[in-house]
Amino acid sequence: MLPSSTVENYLKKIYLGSTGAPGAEPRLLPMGQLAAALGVTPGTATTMVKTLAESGLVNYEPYAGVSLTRAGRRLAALVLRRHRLVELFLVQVMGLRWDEVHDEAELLEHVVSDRLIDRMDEMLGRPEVDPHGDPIPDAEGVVKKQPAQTLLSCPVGTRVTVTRIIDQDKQFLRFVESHDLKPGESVEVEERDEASDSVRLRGKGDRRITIGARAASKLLVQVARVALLVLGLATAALAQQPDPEAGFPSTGPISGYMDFHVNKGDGEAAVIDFHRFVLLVNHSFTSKIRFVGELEVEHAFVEGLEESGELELEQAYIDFLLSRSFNIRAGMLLLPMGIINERHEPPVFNGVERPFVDTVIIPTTWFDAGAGVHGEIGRGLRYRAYVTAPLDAREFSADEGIREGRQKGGQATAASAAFTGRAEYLGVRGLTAGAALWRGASRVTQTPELNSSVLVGEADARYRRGRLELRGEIARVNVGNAAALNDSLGRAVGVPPNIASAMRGFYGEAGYRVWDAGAPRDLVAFFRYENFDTQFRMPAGLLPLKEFDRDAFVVGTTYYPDPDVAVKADYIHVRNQSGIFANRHLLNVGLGWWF
Amino acid sequence: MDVTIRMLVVLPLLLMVGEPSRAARATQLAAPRVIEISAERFQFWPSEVVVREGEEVELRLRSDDTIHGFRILGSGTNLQVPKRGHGYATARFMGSRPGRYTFECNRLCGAGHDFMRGVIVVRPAGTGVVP
Repeated sequence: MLPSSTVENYLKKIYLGSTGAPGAEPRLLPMGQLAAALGVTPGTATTMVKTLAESGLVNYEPYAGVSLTRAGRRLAALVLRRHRLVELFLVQVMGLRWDEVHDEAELLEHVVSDRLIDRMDEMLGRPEVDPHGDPIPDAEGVVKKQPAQTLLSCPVGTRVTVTRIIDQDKQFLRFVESHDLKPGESVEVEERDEASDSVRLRGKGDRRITIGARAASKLLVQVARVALLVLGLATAALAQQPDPEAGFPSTGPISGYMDFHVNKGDGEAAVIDFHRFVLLVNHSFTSKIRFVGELEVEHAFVEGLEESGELELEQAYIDFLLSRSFNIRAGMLLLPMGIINERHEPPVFNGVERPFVDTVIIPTTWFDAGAGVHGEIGRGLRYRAYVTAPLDAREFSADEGIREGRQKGGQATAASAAFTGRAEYLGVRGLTAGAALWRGASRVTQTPELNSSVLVGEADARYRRGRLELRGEIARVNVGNAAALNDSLGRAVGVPPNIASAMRGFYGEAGYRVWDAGAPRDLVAFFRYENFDTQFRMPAGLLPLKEFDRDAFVVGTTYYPDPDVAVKADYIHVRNQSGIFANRHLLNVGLGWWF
Repeated sequence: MDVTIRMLVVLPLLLMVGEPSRAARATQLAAPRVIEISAERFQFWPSEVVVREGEEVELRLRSDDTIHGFRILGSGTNLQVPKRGHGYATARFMGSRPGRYTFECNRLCGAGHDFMRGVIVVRPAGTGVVP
């Protein structure tokens, strides 16, 4: 038996209601919405839906909603095919206006035969869309995918073509027509104004049009082909011309970042260094079991000695995502210490080189093998707690503190475990504040054998409001049993390494976006003051080497031709307190990017 | 052209036998509440959104840095949030059933990508105040 018009109307509304936005996966349509769309009571809709479910046309889930079965979806698509072909026929052949055909098609879609529809389809030249840009399903009920961008989400400053009007209210269609926004028209979003919730467009003949955000959300668009062509041919003009995000390109499962520098110290030859080439990969085994890996080549060339380069596995872990508040992570982990260690992509920090405090006091990039838990417990509070291998105290030094003691997960000595915990507050827009502790004991197996307990504590915050961004961080390292450690290591090499019992550093940075060259380009100027001392407190019998009590004044700029590309330049003045060793002046230029 | 003439005759006849269903015309729904969400490495702000049962909201997502993904687990919502300065993406969410719906960035955005998650809380109708 052929389905009645009522059945067809139900199937059509369920189809339209559960499809949602173009490109989205089908969802369950709540019964209340279905009843409202059909203009019937919820009880009537429920009774009918139960009947349709018995016929195998819909899946009905009490208290949840309704979705179409495969058979129901095909029938609904064929109703839409008839509706949309009739609309096009009425406009193109019979000369009706595009804003008056919908109601006629609502009636005719139930009565025209398949033979007649096929003839119309042939006569119209097998069209793909109706007068409103709605896709016309083929004779098998298959619908061609459409672009999912609207005038609210498409790139700003790029020519786009209107492809579809998703509201067929007569008044709205007349509004669209009067503003030259019908399907096929070319238009450019000049600005989206949040204050007035409006979108300013440049339309036909450079006509300026301002429409509301709700209206803009009903107009689907796709980037004009000419813009895509320009993108392909004129990469040098990316910053001025069409949007580099046209069509939302996806980079697939591999991402990464790179940076290279030119560093020039006073009295020294300039050094060019392709500092980092980092690839990140990820894989989801399931929605709750994920892998992330980060492999880094430093200084471009690896021959086994660090001075010539490093190949490091900085991250390689599996996350077991159990709930928002409790998740388990195991593998090679980045330790949650300081601002930079977990957030070190070149475009996210100012300065060609990372801050000294995040290098010398907190040994960024600090990673090791282990396991732990993390989560967000509400009210903007996050935590991480990891157990990893400890540091190797035999590698501590006077000038670089604990940095060389990182074992980096490579056959690490793990006679004891190290514990890291971090609490973070993100409850205020623009603010991230956190504090972390790392504690571990390092066993030195030389004679006499000893344990050196190391405690690293830090607090950090960054805040952004408008054009201003502020950052601050303070960190301290305590090395237990430092006197015995110096003594033990001194026996091996003849001279005590002058390892401090405490090291300390802090910095404050202010950055301001001084030049708004037009979205998305930015020029940020910044100033940072750092104080860092790897000889802050000495064990009995050792004097501090004051050349390692340093402070630094860093001033520079970061220019973003794209949010993922940072062109950096800075000047650094590093002072030391020795009175003997010269202070340093450094000029740095760098280029970093994320993809 | 004779086909056109035939259609002019056929269509009015079809109209006469068709079952009128003007009452079934789709009703206009009220404009949904707009919720602004910013995305940056490695957080959404706010990371918790509260919706009433039966309420439809429009999520408007804007990035402060790179491209991020936005996926609501268990729903069809899966889109990309354009880079800073490139506008924003929108998604509709219907709070059809009380519960907690996790959303996450599903485009690798940096070392802390997996931390970038949030939740939409759908509260039963008539319970508490929704901000």
